[in-house]
Amino acid sequence: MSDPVQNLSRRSAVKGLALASAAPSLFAKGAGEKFVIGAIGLGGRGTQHAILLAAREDVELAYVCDPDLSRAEKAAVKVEEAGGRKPRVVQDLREILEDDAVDAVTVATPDHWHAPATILACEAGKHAYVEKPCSHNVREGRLMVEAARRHNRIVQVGTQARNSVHVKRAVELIQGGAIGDVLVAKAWNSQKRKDIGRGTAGEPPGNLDYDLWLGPTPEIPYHSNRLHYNWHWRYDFGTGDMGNDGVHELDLALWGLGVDERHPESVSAIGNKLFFDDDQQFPDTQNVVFDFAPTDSDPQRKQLVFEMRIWAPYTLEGYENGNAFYGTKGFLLLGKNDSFRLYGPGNELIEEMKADGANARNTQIHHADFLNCIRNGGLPRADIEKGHHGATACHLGNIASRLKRTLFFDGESESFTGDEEANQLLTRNYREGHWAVPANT
Amino acid sequence: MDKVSGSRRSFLQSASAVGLGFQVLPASQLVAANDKINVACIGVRGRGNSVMQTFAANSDCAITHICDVRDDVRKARGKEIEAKTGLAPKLVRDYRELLDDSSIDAFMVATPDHWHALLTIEGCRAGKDVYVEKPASHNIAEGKIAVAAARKYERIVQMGTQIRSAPFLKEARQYVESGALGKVISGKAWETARNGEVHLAKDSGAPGGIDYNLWLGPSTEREYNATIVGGAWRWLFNYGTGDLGNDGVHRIDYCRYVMGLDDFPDAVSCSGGKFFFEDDQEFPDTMFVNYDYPDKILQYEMRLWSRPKLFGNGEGAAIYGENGWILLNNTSWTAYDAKGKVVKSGKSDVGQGAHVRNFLDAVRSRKRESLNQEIYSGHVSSVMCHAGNIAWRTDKKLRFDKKTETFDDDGANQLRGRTEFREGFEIPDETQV
Repeated sequence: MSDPVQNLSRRSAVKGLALASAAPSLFAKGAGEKFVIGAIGLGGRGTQHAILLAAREDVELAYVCDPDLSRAEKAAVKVEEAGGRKPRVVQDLREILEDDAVDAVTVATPDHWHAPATILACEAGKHAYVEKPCSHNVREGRLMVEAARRHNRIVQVGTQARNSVHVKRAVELIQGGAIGDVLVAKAWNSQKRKDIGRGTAGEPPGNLDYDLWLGPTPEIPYHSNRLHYNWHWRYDFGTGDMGNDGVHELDLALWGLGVDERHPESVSAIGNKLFFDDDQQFPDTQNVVFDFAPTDSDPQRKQLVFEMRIWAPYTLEGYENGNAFYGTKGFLLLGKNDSFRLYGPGNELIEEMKADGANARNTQIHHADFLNCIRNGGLPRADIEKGHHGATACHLGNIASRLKRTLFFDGESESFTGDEEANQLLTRNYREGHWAVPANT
Repeated sequence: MDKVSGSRRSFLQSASAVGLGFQVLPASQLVAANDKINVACIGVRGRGNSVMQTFAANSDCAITHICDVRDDVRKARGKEIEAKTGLAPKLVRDYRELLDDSSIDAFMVATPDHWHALLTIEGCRAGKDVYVEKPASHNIAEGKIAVAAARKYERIVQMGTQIRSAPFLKEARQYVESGALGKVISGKAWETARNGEVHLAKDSGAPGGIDYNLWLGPSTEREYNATIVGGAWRWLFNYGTGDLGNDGVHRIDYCRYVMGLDDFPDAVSCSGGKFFFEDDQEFPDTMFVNYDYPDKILQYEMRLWSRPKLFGNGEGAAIYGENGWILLNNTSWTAYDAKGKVVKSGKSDVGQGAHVRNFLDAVRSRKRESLNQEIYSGHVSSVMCHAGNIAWRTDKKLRFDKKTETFDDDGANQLRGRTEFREGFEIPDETQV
């Protein structure tokens, strides 16, 4: 597969086509035609996707969709500035999915909508770029993989660090044996977040279709402290900061360890609210350890530890969010937005590399990778299968934290062994009969 | 008053306490040349020798007895001490000969772990004060009994985590107590090392020059094995406590001390295993242990197959507060603000001299609260190590009852202590101590 970095413009994408492997193109239109894309979910991140994509020569950003019309309208103005063409503003994502001209969607909704929107998109024949964590729960992640494969759609997960130049170099070094056999990796998240306070029940504002916002979730009354950001910290809608920020570093740790298509066999955790006294349900302090059993092709037992403090205003080893990979001949420290440092067996610095530019640049490369795969075939760097494994790590860590016991996971069936209560948390309750409920296949 | 008052020290104390017309003098002046604290050192091959030398460096202390199951070690150390102090210690093979000797004031115990608690208990019952190497016990049950013995016989018992007496450590704790970090919520202690593989030699008959029966003591009957007796005992369940009890105990101990966690955690979980070594070790080479406190957490991180530094330190602890954090190692502390700027720091030596001195002073003053690592506190840190190992062995998150020192799990409780003892080395029940 050609390097997606080369494919920032349509011209180079066409060039990439010539170099492409045998995988057939999934792009139904002519080589010179634009990708027609609908953006679903227009918060900060979703708007950034819409703007960056609209600015591409090979994209027509045709729709902006949000249950909150005021957000969609604001985004539409910015999209027009970036791409020169005003997108249609819709509240209901089905309007996008029903349009045959649309090739792909971005899904940057709250977590509880990620899987339903992505699966519906695949069923409607659209490719999807879905924000991380790809799923609200383990079951939905698996259904996303199945939908992508069944409908032969590209589903790229928004862990864009996978396409960051220094991150790729770091993982290449690790997997090439630069630090010997890697037995343990670490992922951390050390930052100071806000106290979200206590909200109240009330009526949703007039610009918001709250029922659409809820989607397949049971009818939970409106509350002032959920929209548009604090849903992250509630079980019904979010995945806590382990799923929000942590998933990036967990994803990179799984990749570096070579277990990003494997599940851990056990999860032990401490996760408590030790700092904030507010509406958050998820822990503000978490230590989660995953054990990976040996396999036939990889006889090495491995461990991944996640460390989270969202009340700490200082970095760890220089990185607010970071990774450490511990090998038998050295170790590597990685900050996905900063740099990596590789140390030898005597703790001597051997190689160092700084990140190439801002986060937006990685997102652009990640977009290019996504579109390149649509046009040329192949799997994107953050393919849904890998994204599902990263998200599953978050879900398992949150479940072990919540139940306060060590859990054993069977990767084959994607269920816990001998723990019914834990298994119930691998899925969620749905609104019966709702059109967006992801169905078992 | 002690039930067992055979010790000369307790006699001196009671004599001065009833005020037999003597002028009350400060402790330092109370000691005349012939009024030294007489110490019997038990287990003096390696670490014990080092601690013994520290005792010997104190002029108000005399190494009067050396006890070791190895003939050559006993003789060599005896000569060395004689050359150093001018006093030839009495050489003893069997510690039981020490119990009735009323000239002995204190035991220094630096045997393999499986002996620590029994010697502490025996010392206390015989009216001796005890300086015992870390961990204070081989298992939870025996450690609890050792604490009970110290209490019952009103003994001064200090565990040898010497960094507790390093002046820098107290500064770090005071800094936390001052509120400078804001709320202190979590801590991490770590240990990294590159250890060698452990392959046991073939079992054989015990050679001459060692009393293998005594070496085994309260552990399980087993054929003599030169590798085990030579040091690999540390990595086997019957005798040792793994590196968690060996190195980890120091780091866990100073981490919790600076965090102000003076008692047991509520729960423990552990993930780990033998990831690297394919050998005869029974304990893991890779571990993450999580300890839950009501409003704090502490994590221990261990890798024995490489030595990657964390924050520039191969072993140490980090304490995370709302406004900044502290980095601890064995000889210093550094406080950082939110921007990573050093705001305060301090350093000293590792505290071995001060720790022994602290013990000797308490032997004189009889104030156990003056000890920097009194046996109860030493027991807490030792239990944290045992509990971490048990959580790993049972693969469960375990809740710990501080009062009974038991877990909420039958399998884990079976690992709290031994159920059978070799004849002559029985550890008494807590109520019978």
